[in-house]
Amino acid sequence: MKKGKAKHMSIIDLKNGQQGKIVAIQGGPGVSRKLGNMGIRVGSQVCNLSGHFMKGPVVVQSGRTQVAMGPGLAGKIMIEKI
Amino acid sequence: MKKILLMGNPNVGKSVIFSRLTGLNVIASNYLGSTVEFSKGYVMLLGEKYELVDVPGTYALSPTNRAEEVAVKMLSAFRPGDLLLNIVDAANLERNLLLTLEILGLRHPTVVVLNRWDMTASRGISISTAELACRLTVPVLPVTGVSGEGIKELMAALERTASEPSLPEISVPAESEEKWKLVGAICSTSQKLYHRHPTMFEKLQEFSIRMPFALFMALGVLAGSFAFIRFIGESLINYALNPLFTKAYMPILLKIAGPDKLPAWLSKFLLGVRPVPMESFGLLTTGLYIPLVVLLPYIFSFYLVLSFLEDTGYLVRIAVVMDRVFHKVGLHGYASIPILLGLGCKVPAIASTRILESEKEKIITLTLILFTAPCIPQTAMIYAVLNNYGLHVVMAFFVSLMAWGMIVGFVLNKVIKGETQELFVEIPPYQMPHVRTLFKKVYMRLKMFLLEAVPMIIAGIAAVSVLDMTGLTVKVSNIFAPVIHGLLGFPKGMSVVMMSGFLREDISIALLAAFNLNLKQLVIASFMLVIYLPCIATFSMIAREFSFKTAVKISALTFVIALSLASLLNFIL
Repeated sequence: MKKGKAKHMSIIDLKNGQQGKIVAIQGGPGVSRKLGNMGIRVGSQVCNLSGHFMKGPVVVQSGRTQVAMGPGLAGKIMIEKI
Repeated sequence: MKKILLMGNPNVGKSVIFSRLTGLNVIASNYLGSTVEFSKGYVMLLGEKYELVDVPGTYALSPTNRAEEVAVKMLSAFRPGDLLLNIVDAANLERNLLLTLEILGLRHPTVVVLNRWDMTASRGISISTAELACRLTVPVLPVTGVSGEGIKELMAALERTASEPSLPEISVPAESEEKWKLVGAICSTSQKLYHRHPTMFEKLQEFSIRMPFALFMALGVLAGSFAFIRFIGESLINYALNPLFTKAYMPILLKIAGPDKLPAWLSKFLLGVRPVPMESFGLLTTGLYIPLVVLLPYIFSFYLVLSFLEDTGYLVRIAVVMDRVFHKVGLHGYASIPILLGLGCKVPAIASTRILESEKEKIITLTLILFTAPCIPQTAMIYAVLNNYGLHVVMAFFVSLMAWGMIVGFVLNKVIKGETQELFVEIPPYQMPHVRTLFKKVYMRLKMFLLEAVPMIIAGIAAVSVLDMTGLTVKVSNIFAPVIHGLLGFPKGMSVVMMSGFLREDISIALLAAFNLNLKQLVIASFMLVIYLPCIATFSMIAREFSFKTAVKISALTFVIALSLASLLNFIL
């Protein structure tokens, strides 16, 4: 699995409103497929809309799609800040 | 019969298009998964009858959840002569086109609909349908489902495709990465995006999911909703329906069927024994007063608010905000939707547990629906009965019911094995509800109540009167006296109340009014009646969704728990 070069962080580590570019999606092919069908895939730009509050879910914007996902899933989306 | 399969991503307005094409009413909601069970209707094309199937929404043809599995299976039964109708959200073209490409790759006759066409302009999107049709090699039609614009042209396009089916010729790559590249290429030539300032709606959209603000907003919206439901319901009762019933209907009824006009027993059966409409238990007095005066206003106002929250898209955001809390009871936030529906009626609520994936989540949600979410008729009755003692009693009652629910959920989460799925749900953009669609939905739900519940309530009241007149009530009461009186501290006659609860729980709560109970007895009785048995309709729904055995087991369990809890309350309060 390709890791982020300088420092790897997941989408959870973004503050609300911050954007990032996906560098890797951890977990099995099922996870990649589930996210990919929504247009969330390596190379796409994403934005953390909700911030991360009390280990709750994270709302991710990718293109014109907004997806809410549990922290376990969001933690698998590795990004680099832009 | 030839078929037309209606396919598309979740929440792109398939059900609205379905209603438009078939003239059938299906409840469409602004969140995904409202069509878990597919609906069928019929469309005439060139004098031939086609079956139109509303397939559950799917993001791709490689299924990742149960609704998608159903969709893919239905697609595999495609036969020559059938048609595919792919609904695409024009306001989110890029993501929707992935499924479109996969569908076109199957080489079946297909028509593509760009739904929500009316939204594109305000979102700074301009799509060339001609260019898109050229790239996709199939007809592409702009349609606005909610207003019906473009439906006529869609019918014409379907007829053309049916009479001379042309297959899509676009070559679709197998690799998902390549597919996305193709989507990008198609979008770059057929779609133009303009920059524009975010609208007020969009700003609200951002704030309503930004924690922790979103949490307070959700609590505020829920509290506001309850206040509004109460205000509308109460106003309708006090200023319209109650005066109408007591001042206009009752005098006429007394003239026609008064004790001096009819034989005493018949008059008693129709008018009841007491002058108060809620306590008389006559077929034409209480039998109509409860459903039409006490319940109908609240059912109307509840569904008005629920449908509004659904159609604006806020309901899904509540589910997201609730996620954290729901994980404590072994559920993810999406389970709050069946539970909120359960506050209206348990039957559709149980049907909607289908949107949950694991057996554990389904069972816990079902239990919470049965144990903690009184349906709106029950709530309205409890309110009518307890409000005499002040609003704080009503509030305390519902708060303890919720606390009880949390305890039950917490215990079940520990007891039942299996893991809780993570929340993963698309959040639809906010929409201004379409007034006609909104009222149609409320009307459909009211009709369901009037056609199914009202006859049951009247039958229930008739049954109670017959039992009472034949003297059976006394016999039955004596048999159950040790439990009813000894254990629960109720008057002996209450066993009838408990029995009628299986028919309709709102009648049984209404029956309480006639017993002159004290506050403690009233609270215990309402508490017990809310949880002790599912009504017949709910029971058969559980049997259908789970199994008959599960329904029996759950009923037995709730009965025992309710009885023990009520006895316990009787001794400690």
